[in-house]
Amino acid sequence: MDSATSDRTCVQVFAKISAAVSHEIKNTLAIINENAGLLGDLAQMTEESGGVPLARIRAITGTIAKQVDRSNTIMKNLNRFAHSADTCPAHGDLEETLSLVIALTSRQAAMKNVKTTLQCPPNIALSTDLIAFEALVYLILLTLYQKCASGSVLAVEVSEDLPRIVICFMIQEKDKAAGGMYTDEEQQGLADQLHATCRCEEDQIVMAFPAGLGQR
Amino acid sequence: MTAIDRTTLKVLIADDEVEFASTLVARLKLRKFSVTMATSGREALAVIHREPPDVLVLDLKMPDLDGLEVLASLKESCPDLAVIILTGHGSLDAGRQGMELGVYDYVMKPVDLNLLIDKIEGAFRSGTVQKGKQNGKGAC
Repeated sequence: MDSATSDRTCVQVFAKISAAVSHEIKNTLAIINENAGLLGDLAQMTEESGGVPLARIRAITGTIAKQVDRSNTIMKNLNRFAHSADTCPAHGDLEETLSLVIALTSRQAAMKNVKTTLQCPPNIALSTDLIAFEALVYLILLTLYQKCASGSVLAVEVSEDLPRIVICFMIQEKDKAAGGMYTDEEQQGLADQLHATCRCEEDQIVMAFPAGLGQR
Repeated sequence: MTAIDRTTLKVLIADDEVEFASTLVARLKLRKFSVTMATSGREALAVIHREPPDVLVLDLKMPDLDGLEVLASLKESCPDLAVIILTGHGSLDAGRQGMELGVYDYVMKPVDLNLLIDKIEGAFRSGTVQKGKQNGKGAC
């Protein structure tokens, strides 16, 4: 895949992430809006009947604060992802980067009732086309969520097989996913750009990256 | 226009955001509506078949069955049920698809409560729900 096509893939991933984030923010705003409205309703009731329902008001303000916190986390993650494109190569920590992408896919995972776990040795530094790497991991996760049955666990495990770093994405569920694993053309193109290899097995996808990706 | 007795108007709110749905339920109850909630597509269908509401307020994006799948199921089993769909900007196309599936109307999140109430009462007045009740049966 040429670089223009893989750049296009990165843009498409950015668009998908932006759409998911905007949907989530809409939901948090809807909750804040309803709770603010309920405070108004209670204020009116209090004026009419006297007596302030303190416990209820505290619960409502707690809900509002929680949604503000949720929105803040969502926007912080989007901001970090956006800044991945600032330079190329960009520098980061592998565990933090994978955690970020997993967080960016949390809604899609929740919609499929899939839990994602991450095991990664600490302090593995990245120096790579960071946004392409994040886009690749994002697309792999989305593909696997579609294959997971409800209640599954998707385990992301990083191991060092120097001079390569290996990332294994494995579905753990009682009933095996229908069909084998695969990476599509877009994912393969990004992998090629990152000089990564990809091996698809029955219940996992294993990506191996060159030493330039992982540095201590 | 004849005023509606809200205490007899049964509304089901179906949305997987529990804090949104429960607060909306509380606010509608303060305004005398008879309201229940469901937090998934499957739960919504179970509630509808157990105790059919007059108006369903349905979120499009839910885990298990999404709103459009719920609508497709209801088209056969509950043709007289008035549906108002909840949508964010990104699912506007899905909102339009819902209109093609015969929903009464759609509202965007965050919700303007007075607008939603107008639509709920409008849906109830629209005729199909009333027809079902006059025939001695609910919307399903």
